[in-house]
Amino acid sequence: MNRPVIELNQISFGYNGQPILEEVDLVIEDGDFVALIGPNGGGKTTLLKIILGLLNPNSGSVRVLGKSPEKASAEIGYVPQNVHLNTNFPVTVLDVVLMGRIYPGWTARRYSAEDRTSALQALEKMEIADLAAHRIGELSGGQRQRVFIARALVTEPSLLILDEPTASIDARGQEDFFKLLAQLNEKITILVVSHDFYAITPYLKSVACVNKRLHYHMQAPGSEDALDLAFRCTVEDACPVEMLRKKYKGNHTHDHDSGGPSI
Amino acid sequence: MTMILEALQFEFMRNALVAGLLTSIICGFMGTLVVVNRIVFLSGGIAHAAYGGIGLAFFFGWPYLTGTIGFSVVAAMLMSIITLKARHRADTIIGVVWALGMAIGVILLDLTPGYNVDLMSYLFGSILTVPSSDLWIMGVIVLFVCSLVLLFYNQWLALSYDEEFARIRGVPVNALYMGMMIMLAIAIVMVIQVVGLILVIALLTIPPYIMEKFSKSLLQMMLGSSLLGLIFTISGLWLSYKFDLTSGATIILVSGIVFMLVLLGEKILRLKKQEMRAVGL
Repeated sequence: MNRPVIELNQISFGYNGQPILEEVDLVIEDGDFVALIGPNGGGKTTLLKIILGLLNPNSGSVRVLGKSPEKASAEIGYVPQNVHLNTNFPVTVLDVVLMGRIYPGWTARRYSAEDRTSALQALEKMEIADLAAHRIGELSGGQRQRVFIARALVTEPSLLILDEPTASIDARGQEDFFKLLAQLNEKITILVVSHDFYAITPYLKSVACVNKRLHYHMQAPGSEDALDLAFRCTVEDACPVEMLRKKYKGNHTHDHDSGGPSI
Repeated sequence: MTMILEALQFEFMRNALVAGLLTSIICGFMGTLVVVNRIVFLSGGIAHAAYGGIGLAFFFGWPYLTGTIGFSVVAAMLMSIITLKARHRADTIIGVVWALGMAIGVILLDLTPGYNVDLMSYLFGSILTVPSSDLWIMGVIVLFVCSLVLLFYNQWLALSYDEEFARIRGVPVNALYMGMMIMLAIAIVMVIQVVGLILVIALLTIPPYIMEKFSKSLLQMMLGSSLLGLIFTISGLWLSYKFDLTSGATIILVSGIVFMLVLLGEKILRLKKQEMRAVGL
């Protein structure tokens, strides 16, 4: 089908003999919108760091955009989890976004007018262009989240990776936020780590559940099918999807007995 | 006014002012990087370990700068490698290098026959006895360090703000970090000789900490800290001249008092805001 954006082959990783990931295989194709879910400490962030080339697996091979992760990382837009990082730092919103335009290697290059335009455009897209001159610490958590997405977008990425992006956004903001991601997904492959599986579901194309091992990675045409497939995750005791499913059922928005796989 | 003019008639006073200016600038620039990267403790480690370099230089009869800069750069690189590799153990290792550096310095000076530098002049320096030749060397180092900071400004900024993101963007984070440590070691050694180790740490931390609150960019913070450091130095020098006090300690005292006042002012402002909010409800 499409060319694979991420190919993980038998990845294992551990600290001091404690295994965190074991024999993980994962293929994510171009244009996908994947949620990586799983319990805390299940290895989600570790898996992200391996894809980003920040950690090297103990065994197995990683290809990102057909290259080694270190070489590919410049083409990945990364939105970190912690938006409360360095809130006292003397830097404006615009300057944070401009960091996405930094050149690799030792370079004394200044930012060009073009860099500034694209930074402002990214801020406009995130609807926070009016905050460009503010200090980063003056913004709310949700606004800072948008700044970090703008910073990831100005890198003109082929792959956007977001780590727990909804942690600092309120429930109504989340809806808008995922709509925005779905819109970005028209051009960019998106991988999002989330425990807010419920809110994100309608926009997803696939789901991967990681808890030391990768449990399921299913592709489905419709979002409801994606959810159904992900439910099979519950065969594993430690997977949190059971809990999320209950929450989902409690809202009576989805009927599980009408033809879906029996759970 | 007449008193200031009177004071400026002395060459040692003019030299002290120039030394204060150069110290303020380099501490404003490097101190900003130290404060935003939260490596104050590491800077303390470099400054104290430098004493080992002084001992080494005297014991082997090397020129002061070669021995001290060499030793400090090695100590700084050692500490930064450990910080990069095992962050959670870094503070312990820095503490060890800190203590060991000083101990080596003291013992090597014990073993060196003849004239020895005394510990007090190393701790508090002697800004009033800076020879003009030292000012030239200082000037060159200040120019060198500040140009490097400005040349790679965007990279230091990216490294300081979000190291992980910088790494992903292909910024040579480890090399930049090492470069920062080497510049810091050179700056500290240079300034210790002139104003002493305690004043270096005070000027590396207090002005940047205060300016961080009022700055919108690292550059503003660097320039503001340089200016604030200069104000502290001049007022401290003036007070020490007027009341016949130790100059280095007076400068630190002035900085410390302003630091406390800023903290207090901040606290009062915050309480007032809360009060207003409570009334608003």
